[in-house]
Amino acid sequence: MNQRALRTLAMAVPLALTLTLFVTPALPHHSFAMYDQTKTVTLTGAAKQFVAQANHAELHFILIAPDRKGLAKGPDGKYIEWGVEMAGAAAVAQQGITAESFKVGTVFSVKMNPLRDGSNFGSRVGAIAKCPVDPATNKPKLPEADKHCDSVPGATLLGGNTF
Amino acid sequence: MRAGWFAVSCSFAALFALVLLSPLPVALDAQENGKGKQGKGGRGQVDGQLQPPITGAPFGRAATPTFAGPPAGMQALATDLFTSKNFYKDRALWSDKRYFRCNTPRQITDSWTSGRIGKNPPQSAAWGDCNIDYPREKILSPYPYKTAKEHYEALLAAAKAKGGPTVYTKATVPDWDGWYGRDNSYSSSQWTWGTINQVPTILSLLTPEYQKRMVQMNYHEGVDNAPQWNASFCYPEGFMRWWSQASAGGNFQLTMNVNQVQFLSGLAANFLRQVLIGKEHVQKVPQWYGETIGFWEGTTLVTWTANIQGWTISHSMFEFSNRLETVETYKPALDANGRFIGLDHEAVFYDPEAFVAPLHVTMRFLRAAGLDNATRRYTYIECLSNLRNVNGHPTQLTAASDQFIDYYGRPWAKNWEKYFEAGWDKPQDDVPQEILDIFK
Repeated sequence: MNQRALRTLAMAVPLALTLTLFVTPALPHHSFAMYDQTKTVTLTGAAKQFVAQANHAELHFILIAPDRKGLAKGPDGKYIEWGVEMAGAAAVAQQGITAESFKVGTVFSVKMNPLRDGSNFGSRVGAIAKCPVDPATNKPKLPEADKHCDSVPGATLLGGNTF
Repeated sequence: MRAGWFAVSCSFAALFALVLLSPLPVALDAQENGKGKQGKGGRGQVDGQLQPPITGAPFGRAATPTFAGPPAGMQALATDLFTSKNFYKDRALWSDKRYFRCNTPRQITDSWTSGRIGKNPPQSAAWGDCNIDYPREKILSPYPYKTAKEHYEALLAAAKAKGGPTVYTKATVPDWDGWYGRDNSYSSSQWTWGTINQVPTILSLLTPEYQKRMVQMNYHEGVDNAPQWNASFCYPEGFMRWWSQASAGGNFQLTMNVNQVQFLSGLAANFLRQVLIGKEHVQKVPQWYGETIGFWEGTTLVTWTANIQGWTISHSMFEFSNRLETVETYKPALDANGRFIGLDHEAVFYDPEAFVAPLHVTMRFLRAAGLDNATRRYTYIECLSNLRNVNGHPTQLTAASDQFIDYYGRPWAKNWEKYFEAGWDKPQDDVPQEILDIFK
């Protein structure tokens, strides 16, 4: 095998391994007709609950205000909760998305196709960006106003290479 | 250049091998998430997210091209499934593949989620490839038997004629224990997946009543975007879903002893099939996955499943009745060196109420690992859903709905708090303190 082939092999093997990770299990167990696949919303919030369902794991989170200075509140003065549905818990665990990595209070950003009926729930699109934690305060480093966790130096992407 | 392609090929061979050997039992169905360049297809999940429609999957579910209008040489009917005002009145057209715009059942079920429905639904629904079809004669059982009982007893008599059935001891029972997955090289004959046939070919296997039921499903999935998938509502999967593509029923954990052979599999719900060796049917009420008895003839396992609850394969395929019974055989598949690699399986379906004749399908299940594998687990599936029909359409409920069940949030307590603790002065703990502390 010549040098060129070895170089190609060196590039292709990681590619194959990466793809292997990506095609590992999880089939849709229900129709996704209820999601509006023509719309994508990007939201940043703090994890309230990771629901490790075998079929479709969910992350429930409290929305952070666009100015990133507090939690968002609705017209009724209550905090706004959203949820995002993903593949099965076993599949997303391979991407590092678990109850352990998304403990309560973990700040992250996610893109999703929202429900057609306007409810605060969607199906995940692409990677999840986790905001880094400041070791000095043990609190998350928040993005600037109107930006998301992917913009924060030290952010982690899970389940994809781009946000 | 050739060496370069060799390197790439090696890598993808490695990829395929790794997928095949993935520790998760559903890994072998990852082909449903395949990518390609032609045609629009069903929605899959790749890299753990819910993906937009994928194109040109290498196997069935999404492989056929999409045509905006009738393919060359085809003329649209004046009335078809997507323009009909009452499909019941169109029965004379049901045998014409143009009535379904040459879409396979799977393509119809995915009409809305794959984008096949077009921009002016339902009239703008895409056409499929009119040349795709799996021969009806290959679906029909090749055997002369009219009933499962007749079939099973004939095989049993043949075994007895040879001195059988074979009776094993704990020490001699065949060692088939392990984790199995479907051999995807058989996908081109899996008509039960609904991916390789024109709809009229499947309809031709059904009695008039069951034809009507199937077209009803085609219409409401393809035209009304009102799919009623079993798993959406945590309905039982039903017996024949074991043979559907997405159920992953054929990717199973197999354990066996002298008295029974057990197949455990599932994705949205669990499939538990137990072959009771040397027993008789005793259950008088239909069971969701039937009651299976069997015997050994040498290393061939012969089974007869009866007492099955009628149900549906769903996904624009067909329903089956309580009269469905199967005779199945499992034979060891060996490689060139005589090494056991899996099981060759044949199922013959007898349902005189739903099918016009007995049907059959074959599949090879490859053993990917033994039960001694250190990391494989069968995770028992509790189907949990917050999808309900709202105005006829499956709708994901959220916490804002009265009907929403927070399965992981002490739902029993939610009920008490709503109905019996209203107005009480209680601690406000809706938002975890960890979240509130972020902004302190």
